[in-house]
Amino acid sequence: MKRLLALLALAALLGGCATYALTGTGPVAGPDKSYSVALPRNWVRLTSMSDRVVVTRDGFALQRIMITRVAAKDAFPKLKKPADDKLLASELAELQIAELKAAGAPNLTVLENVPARIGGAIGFRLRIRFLNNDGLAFEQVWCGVLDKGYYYLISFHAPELYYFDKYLPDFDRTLASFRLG
Amino acid sequence: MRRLAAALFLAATAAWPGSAPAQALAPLKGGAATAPASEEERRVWAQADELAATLAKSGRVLDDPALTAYVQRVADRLFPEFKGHIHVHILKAQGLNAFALPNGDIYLNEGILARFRNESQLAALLGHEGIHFVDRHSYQSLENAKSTAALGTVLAVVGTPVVGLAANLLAMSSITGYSRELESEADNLGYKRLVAAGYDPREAPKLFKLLMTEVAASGEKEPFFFATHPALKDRYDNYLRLSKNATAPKDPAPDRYLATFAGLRLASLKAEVSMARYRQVIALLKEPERHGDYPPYVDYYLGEAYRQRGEKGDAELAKAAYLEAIAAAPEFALAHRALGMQLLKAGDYGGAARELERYLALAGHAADHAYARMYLEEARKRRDERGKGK
Repeated sequence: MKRLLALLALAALLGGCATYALTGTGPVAGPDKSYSVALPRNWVRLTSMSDRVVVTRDGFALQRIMITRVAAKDAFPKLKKPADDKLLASELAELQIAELKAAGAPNLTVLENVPARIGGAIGFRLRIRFLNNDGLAFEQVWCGVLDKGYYYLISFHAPELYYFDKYLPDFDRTLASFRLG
Repeated sequence: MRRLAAALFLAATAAWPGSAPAQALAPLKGGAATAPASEEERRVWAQADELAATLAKSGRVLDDPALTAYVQRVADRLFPEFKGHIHVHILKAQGLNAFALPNGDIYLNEGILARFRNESQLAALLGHEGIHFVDRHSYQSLENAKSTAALGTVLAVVGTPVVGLAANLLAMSSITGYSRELESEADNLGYKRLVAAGYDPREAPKLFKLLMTEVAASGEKEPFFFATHPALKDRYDNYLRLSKNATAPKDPAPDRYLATFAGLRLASLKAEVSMARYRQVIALLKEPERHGDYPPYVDYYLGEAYRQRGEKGDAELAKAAYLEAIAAAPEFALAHRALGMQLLKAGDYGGAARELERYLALAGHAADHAYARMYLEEARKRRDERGKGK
């Protein structure tokens, strides 16, 4: 409880217009009820961004789960490429890797790239690693899928040291609960 | 937003402690006398040290002692009196770029090293960048780093903002190029170094020619080393004029560069494909001379670039390129996988199954085997369904 109060106080000080809420037990619906997902209980959700779901337990730099949905034509803004529904799952993953490289992690390492069933449809699961400017290693998991003209991404981000392995099971439970609408 | 960025930038520039030096400064002398001439310049060097340390920590500097020693030897041959003061590093970055910091650290992108065809072309670049250090251009130019667009270009090279604001401003002036006068000075004095060190001066304009071709094909703006002033074409013409009556010194090992950098060249090509820089890859591999610098299966990467581009007719070009790669190197597994995926998308399920089976036979333990098995299963299923339908 102390941790939560401290986090909320810090968020209130630094966040300006950002608003936060504690996650509960029931599933959460995405924009236009396009998906539903069960978030880890008693995490903090950023509620001021209506186009995405972002939650953390200890702070967004320490661990965060994010779910986004964008129109397929806007799927890869850095590459200026759409997500064509003719793309195979591995091609979608390949574009996501290129997008991440273009977005500021040019030297990321791909640790895992496999097909995955996301919300009932075939997509991909990527696990990547990169160093920040201080040489601190981060890992991320990106799961992506195309459905009815939209590109869905469910991602997990944490420092490699301690946080990634500790909270990966929370992410995997979240991912398993994800349902396309 | 742009106005806000501009205001912040100008405020920051005004606060920069070294924004005073407008007059030309005497070049550094070399040897033990290579040191900052003032407290202001010492601070600029310290910021450069900070930037260099950040680049090293962030994992962006290539850890290949043999290749780094090679480029260092060329720099030392060009600037013998600065041996121990100029330190050359290779950055794991694909843009055609290079830059010198005021403390003597010179950074060359993998991408530009992958484009050179001989040591003289590398020497032409290092001669130019070395002069920026020796003639203290970065220090002189800090006050000229006024373009807010420069921040974007710095970020493109080094990723997220690297260190404190002062070092970012330093990076801007170093990375994004200097005034017309300073760039011309670096070209002309760098050329003299090239000649004095016994390199082939006729290679300098060739470098610019090759890069102009690729820049035109890629549709990108000119890279920073060949920054807007003077324009790339003007600099090509200048090098052509300088080298007009030059003769070539005897090079005992003309292919040394190509052989030494073969691994980096291929790694750079793979990186470009992984970053979807398909325009650059197509421009590069469509040149027969460059194409020959790569292994026999290089057409696989050309095929991947066509597939990524995805314009009308590219699927056929990709397929043809994959077939070329397989003809040249039948055991090269990735070409079979790519062809199998292409055939699957085109509805040739029998062909897709055959190529994917071949891929798995050659590389069954590859990291992406799960995709290949999934595609193979689908190709077989559809092939069998079609067979039953007949």
